Amino acid sequence: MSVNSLNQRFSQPNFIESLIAMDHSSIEALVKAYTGHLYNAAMGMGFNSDESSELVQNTWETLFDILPNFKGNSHIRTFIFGVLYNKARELKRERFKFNQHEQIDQIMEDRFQENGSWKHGIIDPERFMVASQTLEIINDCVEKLPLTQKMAFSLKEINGEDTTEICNTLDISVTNLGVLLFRAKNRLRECIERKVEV
Amino acid sequence: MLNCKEVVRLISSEDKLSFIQKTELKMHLLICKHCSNYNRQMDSLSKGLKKIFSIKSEENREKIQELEKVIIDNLSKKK
Repeated sequence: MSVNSLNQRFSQPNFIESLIAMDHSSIEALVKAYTGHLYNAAMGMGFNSDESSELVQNTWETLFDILPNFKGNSHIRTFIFGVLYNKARELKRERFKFNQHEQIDQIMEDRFQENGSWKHGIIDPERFMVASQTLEIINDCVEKLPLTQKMAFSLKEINGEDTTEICNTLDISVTNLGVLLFRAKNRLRECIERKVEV
Repeated sequence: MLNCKEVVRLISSEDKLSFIQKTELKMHLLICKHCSNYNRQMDSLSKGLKKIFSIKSEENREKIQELEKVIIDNLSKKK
């Protein structure tokens, strides 16, 4: 089945009811559709493969416990990823979703002169490209991001999710999501650039 | 005219750009080497990450299938 027809099927009220009733074929369809995505998202947030497996199992367990509370305001997929994200935050004991100020904001400020032009040039995009496809470099730089930035970034850039759905999943405003993504991208860029310069 | 700092904001922004913003952005990238480098870096960053994650998920395919089985079994027992 195509992604679209799957999404449509999962949006129908009777599908959600069949899940609450623990209908085997509905459970199977849902688990098969999203377990891979959840697992990859967990890995993307920096958990190792065992931790990711456990996190995904806990996510499904909890999901079926709280499913009767699902109001259908967003897609079931958003709801599932929201559970994963909250489990991940518990595990990492990360308290804040959004900081008003972060070091990267100042770093970006300092990149520019008063008239808004760059102070210094940026490194050659070719060398940067090679570095951004190197597994060790990417792992290392992604690792350093706060969890919420990682999650926002991977939902947007890797899964290509819709902005509204990401805001629902992370429970943040569109403005804050914009800031998170700006920080995540620029932190990664700075980190990769530093590694190329060494 | 946009300055470099504003261009960098627009490139990393999630907002839908207006026609005028898009045009100004394109013009600036044509004449400014630094910003066009920045833009290309951002592009390789997103491509690089997609590539790395698709390799990772390919490697984990079997593991994910096993995981699906375990989860479905566990949930069936829950009834």
